[in-house]
Amino acid sequence: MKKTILKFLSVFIAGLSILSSLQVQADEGKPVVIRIGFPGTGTGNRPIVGGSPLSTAHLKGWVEEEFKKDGIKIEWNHFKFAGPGINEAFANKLLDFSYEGDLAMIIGKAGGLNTKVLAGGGVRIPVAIAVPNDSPIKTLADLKGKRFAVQKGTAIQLAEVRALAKAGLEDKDVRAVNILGANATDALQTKDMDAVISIPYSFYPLRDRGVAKIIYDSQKSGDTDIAIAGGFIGDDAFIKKYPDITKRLLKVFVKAAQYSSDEANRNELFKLWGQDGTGFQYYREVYNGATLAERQTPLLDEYWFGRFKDGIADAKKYKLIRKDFDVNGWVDKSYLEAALKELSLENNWTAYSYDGKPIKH
Amino acid sequence: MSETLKQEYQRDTLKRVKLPNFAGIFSIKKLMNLTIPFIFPLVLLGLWQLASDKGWIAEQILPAPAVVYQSFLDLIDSGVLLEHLIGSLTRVGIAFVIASILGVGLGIFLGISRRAEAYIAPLFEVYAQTPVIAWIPIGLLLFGISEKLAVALITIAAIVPIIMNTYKGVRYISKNYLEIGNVYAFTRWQTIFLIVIPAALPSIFNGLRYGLTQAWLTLVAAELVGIDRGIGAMIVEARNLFQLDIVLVAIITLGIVGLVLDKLFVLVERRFLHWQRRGL
Repeated sequence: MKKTILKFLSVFIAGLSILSSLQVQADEGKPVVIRIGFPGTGTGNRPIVGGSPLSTAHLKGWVEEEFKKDGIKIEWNHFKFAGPGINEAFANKLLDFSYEGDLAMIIGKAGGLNTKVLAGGGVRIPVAIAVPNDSPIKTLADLKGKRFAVQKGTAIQLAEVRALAKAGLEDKDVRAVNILGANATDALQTKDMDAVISIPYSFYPLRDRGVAKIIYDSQKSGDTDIAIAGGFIGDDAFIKKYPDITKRLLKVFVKAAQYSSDEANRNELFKLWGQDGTGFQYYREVYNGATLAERQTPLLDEYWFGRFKDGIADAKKYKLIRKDFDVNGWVDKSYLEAALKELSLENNWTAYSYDGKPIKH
Repeated sequence: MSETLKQEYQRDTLKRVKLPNFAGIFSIKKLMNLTIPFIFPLVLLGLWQLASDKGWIAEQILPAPAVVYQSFLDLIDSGVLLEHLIGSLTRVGIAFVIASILGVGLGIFLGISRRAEAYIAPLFEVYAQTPVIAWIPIGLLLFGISEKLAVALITIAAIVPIIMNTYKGVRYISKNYLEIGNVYAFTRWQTIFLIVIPAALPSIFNGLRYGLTQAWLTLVAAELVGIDRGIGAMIVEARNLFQLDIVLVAIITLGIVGLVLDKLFVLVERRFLHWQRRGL
């Protein structure tokens, strides 16, 4: 018995020492690998998610290109559980950078994750609520007491509680059920769910087949306060350890944001992102009436800060986080500013004020 | 008596003389017996505290015991825990009743009818080896993402030990009992209700008890999809909101309530089977 325990211990210690030696190898001025995360997967779990500057950088292979000469491997992680999965990965030190929607980012930070916001890369992203085609639900108020699919812990949930509040409802007034993206739209088809909230284009295929109808679209309703924001975040320890690598990564991100904001690339971009299964048409539709730049801007302007300040306050109010924090201490603009300067893109994007109006220079 | 036998006899009596325990030793032993169940949990609790003090595991993954305790109190205070618990208990209750009725019925049928046994028992033995999770895709098609799905999954899990124990209990009743029935010229139904069921009752209860345990163990898996109120749903939501303290509260609650349910069942069983105990 004693012998077995000793044997076990020695194997355990040997394992630990191997692990720590790996750590040492990674410490020689540059990392062996940069691990980057995406919330969600494409249709059929394919490892592609469109819609953000990071998607563009991923699909174009620009990050690999940048770090090829250093022999740094780029590892892309698509999290089926979206933001909550990303937060767990950050906590377990399995991720260095990620794109994330507002609520998941806020939950992670409030939960004590040591992340830093490095850039924006997604604001004014609309959400929609869909119901089965023959459903009697016509307005937000009709959702009372209904089975309502929400991907909890993601930006969608913040949009949900805000949309319900518009109709004078609370989360507990509906039967909010946690279901992952594609499963939720399937549930709409089988009528297992009375309503689903998600990004508008996830409902377009069902709508076009006459299975579902969209009863609410934040963009069409002009509810900018319900739209989702996002950001590019990094693990603080990684950033501190490899500031130069971080700087170079941000340069790639800004370059991708520029490409994604350029109206000349509109068709090209939607084709690129459309590979995630959404398809060209539906990206085009969801961007109907919007400029690319106003959603893809990497700037951390007053509007972005306002969205996150309000996001933190609302998350606290709706009990999605238990302690709030100051958004200013969370953001590190220096890498973004350096990248903008280096690429001479300081004036490429319009900065917006808290109320979403352009700031005139 | 030969010499050796005599010696052995003496040794035996000597042993017998030494046997009675001193009162003091006895009470220490009793105290030990009372303490032993708590040693391991306390060591674990100590390790847990140490791990969070030393930051071995990120606080987001394993919150400190005090944090979990506070959340426990908060969740009880706000009634949230009770609400989820009632959801789960209702679900398990419904599933258990269905599983009991179907399980005992089918078990008795299998135990009595040789033909049923020959046709159904082999298939049932295969079914008994399937994990509940494997039934989720079919369950989803049959019931959709719904309350029915959760109840069905729990029923599927609970019914196995109930059928198995009832069937074995009925099948292996002492032949003597049945012969007595023959002497009294019992009809088939009289035999079933007056001999078979009472004789198999301890075994049936055994099955019901395991069935209840299985139902409770399956709860979380069954509540992972499409449930808004329940301990499993609470775990899913807390995980998504990165509140691992609440996940731990839910797990501890599952353990405690599961244990209480089992103990309650034993009490019920004792009431029902008191005649058997007295007989023993």
